[in-house]
Amino acid sequence: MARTPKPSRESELLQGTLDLLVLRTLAPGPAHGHTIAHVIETRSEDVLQVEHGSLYPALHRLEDRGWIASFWGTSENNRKARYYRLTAAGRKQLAEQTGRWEQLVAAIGRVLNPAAEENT
Amino acid sequence: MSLSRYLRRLRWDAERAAELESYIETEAARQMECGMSPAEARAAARRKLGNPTLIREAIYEMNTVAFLDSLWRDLRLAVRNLLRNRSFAIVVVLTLALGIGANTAIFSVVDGAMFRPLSVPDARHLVAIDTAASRETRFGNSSWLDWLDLRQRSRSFQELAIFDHVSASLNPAGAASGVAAQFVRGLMVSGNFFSTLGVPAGLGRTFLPEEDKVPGRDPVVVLGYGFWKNALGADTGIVGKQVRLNGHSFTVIGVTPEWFTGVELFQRPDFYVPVMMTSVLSPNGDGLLVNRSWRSFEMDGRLRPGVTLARAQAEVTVLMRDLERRHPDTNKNCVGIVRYEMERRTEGSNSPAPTILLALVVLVLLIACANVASLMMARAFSRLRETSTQLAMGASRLRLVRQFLTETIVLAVLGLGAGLLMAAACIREFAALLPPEGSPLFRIDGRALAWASSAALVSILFGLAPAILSVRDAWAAVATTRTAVSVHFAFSGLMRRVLIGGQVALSVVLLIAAGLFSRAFVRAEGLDLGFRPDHVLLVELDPSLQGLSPQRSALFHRQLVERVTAISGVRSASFAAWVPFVNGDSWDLSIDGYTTPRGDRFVDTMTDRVAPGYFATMGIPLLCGREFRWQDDKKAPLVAIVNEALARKYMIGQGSIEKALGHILRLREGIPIQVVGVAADSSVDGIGRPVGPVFYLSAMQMGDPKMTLHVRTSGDPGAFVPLVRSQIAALNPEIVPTRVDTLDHVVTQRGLAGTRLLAVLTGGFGVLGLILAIVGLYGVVSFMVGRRTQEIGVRMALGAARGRVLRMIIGNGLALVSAGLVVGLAVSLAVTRLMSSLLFGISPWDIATFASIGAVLVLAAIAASAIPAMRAMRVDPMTALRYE
Repeated sequence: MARTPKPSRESELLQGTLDLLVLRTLAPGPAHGHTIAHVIETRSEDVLQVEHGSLYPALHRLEDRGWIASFWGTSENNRKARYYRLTAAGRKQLAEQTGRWEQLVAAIGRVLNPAAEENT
Repeated sequence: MSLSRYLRRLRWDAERAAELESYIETEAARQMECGMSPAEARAAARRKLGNPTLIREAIYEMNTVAFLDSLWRDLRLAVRNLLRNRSFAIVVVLTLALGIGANTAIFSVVDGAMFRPLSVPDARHLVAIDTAASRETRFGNSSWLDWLDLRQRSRSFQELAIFDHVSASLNPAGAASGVAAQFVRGLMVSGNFFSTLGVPAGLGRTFLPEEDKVPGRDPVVVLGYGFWKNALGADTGIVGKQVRLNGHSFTVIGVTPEWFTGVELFQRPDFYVPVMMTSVLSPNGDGLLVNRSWRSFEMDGRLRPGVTLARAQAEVTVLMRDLERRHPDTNKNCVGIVRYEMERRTEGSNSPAPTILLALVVLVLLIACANVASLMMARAFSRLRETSTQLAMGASRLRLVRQFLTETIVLAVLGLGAGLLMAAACIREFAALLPPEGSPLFRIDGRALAWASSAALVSILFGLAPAILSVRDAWAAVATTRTAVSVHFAFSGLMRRVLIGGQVALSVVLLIAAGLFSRAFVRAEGLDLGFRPDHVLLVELDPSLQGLSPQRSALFHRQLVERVTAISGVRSASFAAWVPFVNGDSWDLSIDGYTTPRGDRFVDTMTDRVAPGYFATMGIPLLCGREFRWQDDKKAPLVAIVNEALARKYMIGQGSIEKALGHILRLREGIPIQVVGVAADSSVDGIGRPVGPVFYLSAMQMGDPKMTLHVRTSGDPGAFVPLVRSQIAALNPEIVPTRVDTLDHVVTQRGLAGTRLLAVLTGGFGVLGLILAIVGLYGVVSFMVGRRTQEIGVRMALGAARGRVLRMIIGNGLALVSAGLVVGLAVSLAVTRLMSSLLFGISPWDIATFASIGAVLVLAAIAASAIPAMRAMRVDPMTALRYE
């Protein structure tokens, strides 16, 4: 694993992104913290290495804003675990943030690759 | 961040801990599936998660309102610290309680007596209108007819109401006879009285406009809350029932609300009736309603929104000038004066006493605060090591100042609470010192609370300086060596000197004020009143309350005097309408041959109606002429006796007193009244004030039914009460005295009460200030001695005599005091002049007072430093040398 210490500016930049990833991960259905971390890792094919510890303050923040809700449940291997699910507000937020993210990516792409833009 | 989550943050943290634990278990299980040993798997899971404590802290912080949290920690620490130093805390709280309590109590009393508006809605738009004021005397009452005109024609007022004081006998049991009637005082009011003031009924209703239209038609009465509660047991079924007033049946239509205390400070009316019922309540029948010159009403109005006082005044001036033109016989020289209602109530008492009291009590607070500040500094010094350690370990200076300040705030809040309790107790005591019957309602209300809180705030500000200084000193202690610290402490030392000097100076001012007032009280007691107050019994009687006609009332009084004079031990007896210091009135009087410098004929002059033998009974010397005789009655020509002040001012100047005899006086009616005697001046409304002109008329010619019997006795006048009562009963068993008193008591209660109150209060403040200053001085001297223990040890080891050390320390104490003493004496010289009107001729720079207070302070300083000095002398030199 090539984990480098993150400069603070980068983590600030990523904070919003982590929120988006968490929301997206919860879109299919409730999940607990451990699952969320692993889903993000595997979906990104290990490119996005979530520091599992940093996930929990993020979950707390999202819950505080009312985008996700939590409850205690039993995990697939019969352990007590705290599950998170999207709220209606969260679902709306996910849609908004996804749209904004895609715009951003497209915009950055156009800036980085002006030739491609002209060619199309 | 929601507050509820803040409050539940501990539970939240437990949840998070459980959640993180569940992560580790899940992750460890996953790693074990990949073939790790349980221990390795757990360790790997932990690595993957990171530090759980940091994660929890991050979440905890998210849940925290940082300010509230540290405030709570500061508070807990402050309380713990104070509990550890209980004696310090108790001394500080008591000191503050004394300062704050005295302030709140005095403020409540002064505010209740002086500054509080009437307890009615929107009182600042209430105005008082005086109409009878001749230009010479300015203020006076109004007549019913003038009021009718003003009310109808003026546009400046929403409403204009009048009222007059009446007393009556009231029988609450309705028509049932045999139940003792009560003597009640109330107001006769215009129908719009309550609506003008904006006072709704507390029970039932108030008067309707049509209940004040036809004389004698509507016998309705509104009862005062206090009377209803105390005399009628708060009977809620009273509305609609009948009561008898002076024997006439009245229907109770309502009760005033509890918060309405009437229109005057010193009287809370028992009842209110419409003016139209005057025939039942006043001996003059309906005369009030038809005579424009019968001016006995007070007028209050409510300004229309947007109308200024000046505009209302301008309009009233025009209207009064028109009335003067149309009714020259009754309204000559009558002007109208519009003032704010509060001004009229406080105009009579332009005494500086309340302001002086407030100023003195603020001094007490400042002394208390200075004291607390020096105590805090001494304590801060003893905690120097603790504070420097905290600083060395990284506490911010601001944080430490805040910690000190939190302690001060805790102390101030405790002091405030204790002070309020003390104030409540004091207020009850004050009420007992003041004249009876309806003294103002003293209570700790919002205004007094605000005053108390600002006092507490001042004490907190005083605590700020020690906090900042001590933290700075501690910082210096961290940064440098101990030698350098003592340099910084020299400044704190200066601060203490200023504090203690200020305390001494303030207490000197307090003590001198107290000394002057007590001397004034002694002087006032010995002043010549112009009459002899000893051995005089006073019995107030009003036969008209039992329905006696004015003629029969007069006869009753005359017969009573004859019977009482016959009692053995009675030197003489007479009766008069008024009693000095208790009541009195003034009439417009003209003196033939005299016009005022402004060309007016009438002057508002104090008057009394007295019976034969009055001057002998009172002990007022008759300078020339004769007393009234029983023959000076309705059939005889009108006669008058004037006092010397009147004779000199209006008739004879410096000439021989006999020349005053034969002069002619006239009232508004114009009938000549011949002067037949001149009496020496005697006090009527206050001790030590110059006596103004007074004229006496014969009670047999002008008398009211309500008179006070004056009896001069050879022994204790109180012993004659049963004898006089039995004579009254023998004449008419239904007539009961409305007031029984002795002249001595009246003079003490009314004439001297204010001076005594001032002397007692300032004396109390002075002693309080002195004690606080001595405690402060003692604290500072012991502190200094403590710091110089080593030096003293060295001096004594080197052979200094004990007496020398003693003198040195006491000398230090005296040096501390002397500067304050000098400043205090200088300030007193500057400010006592403001008190001179209250001192009965004692000089505000009275040398005896200044010298004795100075001596008291020096003795106190010696005593306060002697104790620590003795302790210092007992120091064993070896101990002192090893001290460091």
